[in-house]
Amino acid sequence: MVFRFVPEEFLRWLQSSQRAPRTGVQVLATIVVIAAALVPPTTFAAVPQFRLVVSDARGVAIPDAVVMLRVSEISGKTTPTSRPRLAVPATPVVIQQLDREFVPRITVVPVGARVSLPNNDAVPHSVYSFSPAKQFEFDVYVGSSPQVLMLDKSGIITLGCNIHDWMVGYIVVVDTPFAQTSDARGTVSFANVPEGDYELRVWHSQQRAGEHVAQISVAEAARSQAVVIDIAPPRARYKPPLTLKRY
Amino acid sequence: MRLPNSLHARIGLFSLALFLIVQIPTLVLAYRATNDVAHARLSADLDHGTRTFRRILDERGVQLALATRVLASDFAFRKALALAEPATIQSVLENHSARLRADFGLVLSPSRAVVASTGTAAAASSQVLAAIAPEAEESAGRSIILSLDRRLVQIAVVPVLAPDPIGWTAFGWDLDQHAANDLKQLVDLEITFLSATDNGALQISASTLPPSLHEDVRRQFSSAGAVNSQMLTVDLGGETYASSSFPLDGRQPPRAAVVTHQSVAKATAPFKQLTDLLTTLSILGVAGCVLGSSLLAGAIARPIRSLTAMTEAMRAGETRAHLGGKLTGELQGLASSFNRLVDTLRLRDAEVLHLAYFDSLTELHNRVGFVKAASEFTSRATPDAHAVVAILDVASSTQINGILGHEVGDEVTRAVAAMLAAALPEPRIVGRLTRDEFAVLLLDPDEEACHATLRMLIAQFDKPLQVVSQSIDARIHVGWAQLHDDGPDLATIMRRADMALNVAKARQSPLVRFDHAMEADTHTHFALLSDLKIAVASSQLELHYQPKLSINAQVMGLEALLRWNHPRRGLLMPDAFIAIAEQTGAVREVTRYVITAAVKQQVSWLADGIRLPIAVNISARDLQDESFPLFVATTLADHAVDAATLSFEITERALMDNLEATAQTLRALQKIGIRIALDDYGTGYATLTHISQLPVSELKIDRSFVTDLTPNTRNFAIVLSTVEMGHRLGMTVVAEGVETVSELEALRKSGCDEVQGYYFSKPMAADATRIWIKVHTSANKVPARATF
Repeated sequence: MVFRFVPEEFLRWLQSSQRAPRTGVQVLATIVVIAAALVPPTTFAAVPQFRLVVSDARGVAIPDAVVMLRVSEISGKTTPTSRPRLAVPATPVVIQQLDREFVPRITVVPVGARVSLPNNDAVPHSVYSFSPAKQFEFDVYVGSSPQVLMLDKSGIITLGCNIHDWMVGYIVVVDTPFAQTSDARGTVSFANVPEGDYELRVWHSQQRAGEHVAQISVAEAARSQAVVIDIAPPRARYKPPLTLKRY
Repeated sequence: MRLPNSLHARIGLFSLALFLIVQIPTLVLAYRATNDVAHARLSADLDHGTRTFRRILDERGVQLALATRVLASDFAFRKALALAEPATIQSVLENHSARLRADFGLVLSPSRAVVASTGTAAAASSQVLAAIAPEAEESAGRSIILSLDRRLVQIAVVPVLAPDPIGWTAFGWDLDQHAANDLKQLVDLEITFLSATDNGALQISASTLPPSLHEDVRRQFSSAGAVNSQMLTVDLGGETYASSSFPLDGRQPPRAAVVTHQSVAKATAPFKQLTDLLTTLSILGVAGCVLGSSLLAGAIARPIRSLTAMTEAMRAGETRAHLGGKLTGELQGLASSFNRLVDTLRLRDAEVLHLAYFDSLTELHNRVGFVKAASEFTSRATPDAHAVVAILDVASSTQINGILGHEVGDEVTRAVAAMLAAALPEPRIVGRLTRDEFAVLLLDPDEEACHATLRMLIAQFDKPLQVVSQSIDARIHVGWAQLHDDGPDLATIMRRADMALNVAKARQSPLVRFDHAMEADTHTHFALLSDLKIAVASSQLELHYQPKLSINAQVMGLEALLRWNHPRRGLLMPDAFIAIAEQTGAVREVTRYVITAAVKQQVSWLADGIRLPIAVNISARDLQDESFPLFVATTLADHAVDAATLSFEITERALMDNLEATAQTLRALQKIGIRIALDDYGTGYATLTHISQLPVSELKIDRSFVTDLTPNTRNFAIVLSTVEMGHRLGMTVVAEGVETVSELEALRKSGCDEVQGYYFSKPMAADATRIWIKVHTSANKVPARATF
């Protein structure tokens, strides 16, 4: 999968639309746009539309789970006919600090991408991460130019604010083009996935036992599969209302 | 219960009872109030202490949780934990633990593995740590109390967020003996911490109570149900404690609990001191009351006892005894008025004594006084002295009283007394025995001298007494007897002197000495009396009749007169036995006999054509007998005889004896139709007032006025006035004892209606009477006129 030129305004629209409940039309539009931007470089056998549905053991769809497909390097029995290239965006991916939240809360970026962390609030923030994938700690004052980070290591980066304890954001740095966040129905849909064996990784912020890792085979015959993960109920976080300009 | 009679004891008991009545309710109320307050106080203390205890635990928990949260949010600590820097973590943990003065500190990984620990946490097993974590998660950053391996800890467990949880940090305090002691200092209650064993039973983990009581506490509270936050009273090692227990964790059943104890004795000690003081005061009060009332009772009773002793002395005859002593107030008043009373009584006693022994009219000895004085006198007399007792009767006194009034009679009596006192030489005693009788005791060795004195005394009465400027004739009769010669003792010679007086009066002799023949006469009286009863039954009594004639010699009626044919003594006149019969009441039988006999005789005469009323003498005794009128009516009815054929004669003296009863009987007899005649008029002292009120239809002038009556005598004036008075009152006047023609002529002159006497006829037996009537009526050519 190749990232073509995508107008920044469009991307921003996409990102901002993540905040709102995502409708089927929007998802479809996104997929269509992305698909239109892709030019199939080869004519190898590929599954044009590979769906995965994330749910818990009771079958309740789990949104906001990051689903990653990586070419299995362990078994190697059936390798995909071609290895999709990783498309690194040319401009930093923006994660805003907006209304004392990280927006979007979950951002999936390829290795080598840059993220920009602008403070769009009227209060300062102090963003930190103790995650192994990227550790940092900086204050983001009102009106200062946004910090831009180079993410050169795959993994989960948990963003926190040392001023606002309830603020949490996640950057999932992936080294595969097949990585998506599940929608309200727990569904991710990858286009043109070459047939073959893959390593499936599913990460969720409330996961009880770390990342879910499984081996799956992508084939035309089985182009829609279910993934069951175990998550804890969301932790209650107290966010004080913004009354006085104290934050 | 019976109270003792002694005033002393009563006052004591009364004041004691009074004191107790006041004191006991006060004590009871005080005890109850103090007890209530003490227990309320105890309850409040325990409640307050327990609440303070819980508050302190809560405060400590809040402090602990806050401090733990401060550490959990420390950036450097979070960073060290996130970046897994054990040395930094340990260092931070120790530093913070020291700041908090926590007994232990812990850092756990998200998977509850111990990352770092300080203090007593090192002793905590991983198992225990695993146990706390779920509760810690639920506690959401607050402190909780947990039972860990038979000890209690207060612990705050806080997640470390970066911003997702990267582990836990915890600090805690041991609720051990030390903590219990500290808390005891703060809340002033005994504290016992209980922690659950594996089987759920509660064991003591720490306690401020002495170890000897632990077993009792454990037994009391080992079951989880006993820990119910309620106050209760428990017995620990023989001492009573108020206890409150409550669970410290939220488990059901609790695995951690605390019991607070308050010693009842300790809490109520100040109140007990108060009630002890009250009791002591009450006991002192009772003692004081007993002592005080005893003193008071003594002060009241002592004078009363001395009053009693003195009255006893007075009664025993200590005439000069007076109450006194150191009395005050009311008792002094009582003693004074008591003394006055005694003085008055003494005076009155003397008066009474005087009245008892002296005659108030003459100031002479009365009979009792005379006997007393005479006894003393004769007992002192020498044996050779001649003691003479003379009894004097002043003959005219009764008549004086009747005619001139009592005042004059009294004056006469006084004059006689004065004369006696003046005339008789000492040594002598003079007394007044009855109305008209005086007694004189003379003591003279010369018998003849005594005799002479008495004669001299009689001579004094030859001249009239001068009383209230009137000259009054008084005749005196004297009977006398001499001690030893005439009788062995005073009583005897007095009686015998009296006998001699009676004889003197009977003989109309001025001076008679007793002789033993007189006593024999007296003895015959008694014999006569018993004979009379036989006589009534055995027809020894007989009626004789004396005619009553008009002044013109017409026969007007008959007077029945009783004769007794005594088997040994021959014919006895009424004078010989009626007076004796009257004394004993036997006269009533006699009267009834006479009435019956007279009525029978009347029946017989009526059959013979003689129609004259028969007059029967009745005595005072008959008139006092309420059944007498009924007897008369019955007798008349039985013989079918008209009441007009019967009349009664009653002496003036008998009439006056009992005027009221007599008058009633007379009226009853009048109703039957019986005429009443007043006999012996002039000898008694009936007044006109009395006579006019009685149903008397006939006056019979006493023979003493008729004897030797001529128009020029003093008696004629009396007869004249009596006739005049009788006529004015509508009575028939009859003269008795007419013996001569001159008397008859004088009576005719006086206007007297009827006459009776030996001049016409002496009393005759029934048969002789019948013949006399026949002869008399034919001789006078005048038939016996029926007056009915």
